[in-house]
Amino acid sequence: MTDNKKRSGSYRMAVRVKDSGGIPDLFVDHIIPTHLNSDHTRNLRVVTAAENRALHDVAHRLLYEKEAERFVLNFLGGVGRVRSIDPPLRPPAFGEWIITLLVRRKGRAEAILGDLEERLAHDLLKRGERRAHWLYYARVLKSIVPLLWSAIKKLGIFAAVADVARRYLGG
Amino acid sequence: MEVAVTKSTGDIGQLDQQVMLAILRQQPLAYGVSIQQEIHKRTSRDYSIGAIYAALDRLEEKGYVASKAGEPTAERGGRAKLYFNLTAPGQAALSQSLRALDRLRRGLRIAEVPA
Repeated sequence: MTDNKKRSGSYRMAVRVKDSGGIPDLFVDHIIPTHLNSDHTRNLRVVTAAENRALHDVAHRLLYEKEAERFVLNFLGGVGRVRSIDPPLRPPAFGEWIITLLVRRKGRAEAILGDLEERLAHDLLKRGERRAHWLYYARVLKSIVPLLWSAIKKLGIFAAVADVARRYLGG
Repeated sequence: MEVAVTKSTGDIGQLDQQVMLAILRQQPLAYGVSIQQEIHKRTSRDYSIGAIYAALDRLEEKGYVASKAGEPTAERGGRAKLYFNLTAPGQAALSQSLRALDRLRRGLRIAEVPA
């Protein structure tokens, strides 16, 4: 496995080339914008391929692939293949559904789901996909009682249960 | 002799106090995750995000905090952050609630618990 660095346009890429005997596979490790001046460098953020995947950033993924393809042409004489980056990981749909069921205010539900997804993105980097999903569910489960209790205190138990049931049935 | 509390503190519980203090530390950029992490960092209490939002809901209904939607970010799956600020009545209520605790605590000797 060899390491290569390339300056390309306004980005610097770190690319690992894994030669498996035939066509080399390319793994984009990170991509760093270099068009920022030194005043901005303290705010520079290294985006790893895994993080990029977690960020659900389609534009960035396309940029990766385009740059990697250019790398294949310029440095490997067209011999090589770009390892396509996996589709973005979505948070567990069941967890999202539970939160949507329990929180009445739409903006509030979106904020909670956004917060959970932000934690998920960080956990994906630190702990891997499987553990990140377990932690997501754990956070949702831990949130059920306070959110339900909050709804009951606001509406009364019967109205709260009816409200949750109505949303469960899609009314 | 201590002066009696003259005004209700508006039922500010411990979690509400902690949430309000965390907002004060982080405003104008206090949102769910940052409030949760600030409380964890300073008190080691690990409240769920649901508990934090339930407290924020309560406080918003009382007019102690105000929320404002931020910009959606890719990291959050295109969902916007909801930023919270402490309002003037919120600061007054928090201050009153903390003073009430101070009055209750004044003059007491509490044994230190070894860490």
